Amino acid sequence: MAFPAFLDTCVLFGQTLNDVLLRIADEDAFSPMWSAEVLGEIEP
Amino acid sequence: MTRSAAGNARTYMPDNDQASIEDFVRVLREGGLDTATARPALVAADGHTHELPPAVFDILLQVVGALADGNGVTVIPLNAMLTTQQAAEFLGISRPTLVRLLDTGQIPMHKPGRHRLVALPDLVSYQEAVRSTRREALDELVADAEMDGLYATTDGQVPRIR
Repeated sequence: MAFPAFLDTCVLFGQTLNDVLLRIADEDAFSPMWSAEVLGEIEP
Repeated sequence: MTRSAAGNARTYMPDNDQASIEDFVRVLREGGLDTATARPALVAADGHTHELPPAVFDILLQVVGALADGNGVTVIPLNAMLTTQQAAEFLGISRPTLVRLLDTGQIPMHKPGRHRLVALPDLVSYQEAVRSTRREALDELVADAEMDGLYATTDGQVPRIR
């Protein structure tokens, strides 16, 4: 099972980094985790 | 090569004969199916040569490629019936999560006796459906972000909000 990694707001904010990390997760390299609070901070 | 068996599935893990596996990969790729006259073949212990059907050659190439990259390989017959534990391991999710998928009908299940069984083709098609939905969502995210110019405005220093 791919290990979980918590992606905090600062990591998800930049679109390039966000895109790259989610593409890597899409290849099952790891399981991305975030919370409702994190999403709230991205779209205040 | 170490291997573990669970039901009719076998998992092969690469070990210390890594160099010979890598060498084998090179031989397979270079010799390949591109040579029109001589087909790849397997020589049995008794000296008899058996030509490899292209499909078998492809399987072999994929297996040794994965082993050379240090990955384990699981070989399961496509019509196999898996226990909920095996099915969860196949999808890389926990057993309770898999059971929830069965209970909500997202993956079909069979119950010949007391235990639930899952057909491998059903797992493969669920996995493909999840992957394509996820890929579409990511593509949509990129398209939206490009349209809104988010790549330019959000890269670099993150603004402080707390």
